[in-house]
Amino acid sequence: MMRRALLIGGLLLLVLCAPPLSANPGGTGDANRDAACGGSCHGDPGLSEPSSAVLSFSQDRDSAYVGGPISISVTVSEMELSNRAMVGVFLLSDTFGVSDTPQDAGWTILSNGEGSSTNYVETYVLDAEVGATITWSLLAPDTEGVHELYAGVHHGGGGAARMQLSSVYNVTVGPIPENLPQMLPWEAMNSRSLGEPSELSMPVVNATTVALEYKIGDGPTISIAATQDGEMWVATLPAALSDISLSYRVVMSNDEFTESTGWIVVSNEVETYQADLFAVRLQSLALMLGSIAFCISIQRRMSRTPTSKLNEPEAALISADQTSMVSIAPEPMIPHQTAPSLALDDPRRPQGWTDEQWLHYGPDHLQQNHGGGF
Amino acid sequence: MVAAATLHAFSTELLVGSMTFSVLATMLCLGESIMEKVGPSILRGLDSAAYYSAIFSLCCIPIVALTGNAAGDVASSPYLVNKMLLSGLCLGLWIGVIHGRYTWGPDLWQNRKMGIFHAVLVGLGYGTAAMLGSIGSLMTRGETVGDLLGIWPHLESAPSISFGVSIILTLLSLIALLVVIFIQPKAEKAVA
Repeated sequence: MMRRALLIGGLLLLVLCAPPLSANPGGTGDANRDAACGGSCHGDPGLSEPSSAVLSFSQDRDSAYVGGPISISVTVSEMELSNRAMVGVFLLSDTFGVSDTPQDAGWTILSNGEGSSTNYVETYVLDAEVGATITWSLLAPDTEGVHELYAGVHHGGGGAARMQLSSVYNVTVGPIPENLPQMLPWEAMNSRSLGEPSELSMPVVNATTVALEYKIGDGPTISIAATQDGEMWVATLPAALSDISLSYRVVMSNDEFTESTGWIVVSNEVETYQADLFAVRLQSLALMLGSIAFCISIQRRMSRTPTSKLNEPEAALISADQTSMVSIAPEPMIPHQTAPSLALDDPRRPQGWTDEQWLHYGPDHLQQNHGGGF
Repeated sequence: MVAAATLHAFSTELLVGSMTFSVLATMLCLGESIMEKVGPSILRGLDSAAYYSAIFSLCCIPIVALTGNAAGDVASSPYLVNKMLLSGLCLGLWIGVIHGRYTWGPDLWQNRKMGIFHAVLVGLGYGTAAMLGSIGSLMTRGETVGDLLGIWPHLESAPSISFGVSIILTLLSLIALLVVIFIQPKAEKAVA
């Protein structure tokens, strides 16, 4: 009874010792995600704790035109931080948890400032007071009016998953002024291979000159004139020879206006790992077959009694191996002979053995552990 | 539809649970065979529990490997390549565990050498499965409880073996297995 109570108590203690959930402390990668990731640990009130993060917005111009460029920056600060100091920042068009990415509301994300075009970005924060700023380069929706945006942050701290959502941020999207140079719907280049120049074809209308401006890190801005090729403007971005931080933007001008996109960050596709999948499968198969061979070989060797010799004919052995391809005539069942002199009160009898077990297994037990002898 | 990653997580939990149960029962069998504290009937029960949960684990391993294969692009990640290689090793070792117990029968615990070897084999199979789980944890959560041990391998790089050498290795291991099965003298059931 005492043992059972201790056992149950121990198991309950183990359950209580289970660490609190902390979601995915290593992050889940940049991606297009809805608010709260649909039932994530950060969004579940039963699993998460409140966040003290402060979210603030800023934009690079007062208002945007229909389909026109605008950059929205979200600064996250004063949050609790986990040991990994990782935070995930969302740009959202709503907070329902379904279909609330900016793209769902008609926005086009040209760049998230981290080398891709997703609305969720993971970054590291070294100082919670300073926080982190993520800048999205966007193209406004095709409808005029006031468009709502939200920001969200997922982070850890104090052993718990935490989440914070901003209040609504309004962006005014106005009508397109007549003759405004415009970028038509376009998929910006966000990544490229090292050592290769990149030719960009940009669909720009109402422009007399188009330039491609680029900078490395926070260095000086360099401008390249684009040439018109039909309805497209073409410019070539020079090759990067190392894993540098390069960003570019398109500047479109005519006699009346000069318009530019937000800065688009280009990530470098460093040489990725690529394995021959079929070769890997063969290696896995080889490991499996080899380990089976190893196990069976040792087991067969160990199961043979000291009197058995390797050159002994197979029929002399008791085959218990079902893989045996040799047919061996079944031997008649011989009842186990009980030694007549085996005493039931023998002091060498293990504790807990019944009389039947002792009579059946006793001789062998004595043979193995006490050198035999009744 | 349920995503392959979800099925992978589900089958992994089944595998790890049954394998852990099998390992615990096996270690208790080994302890009992050495110390003889609780009696042969409990030993038999533990042995059966270890055996049947090991069989269940063996059934789960291919499902885990297949769903894991469908959940990620194996060729593009050294972690996944290592997972595939370790899956083969885990499957082989666990087949060895089942084979040993089937061949020797429940009386294997009466022979100390056999019992220790069987327990070591079970430990190796379980260690391989733990490394597989550790790699999965590193990929999804960025950390593993194996780090608490200090010497736990992270396996960020995978061996790069050519297709030709892979074929040779497979043929050699196949030949080794056929030699063991058909040429090496057969096993004897453990005698109580």
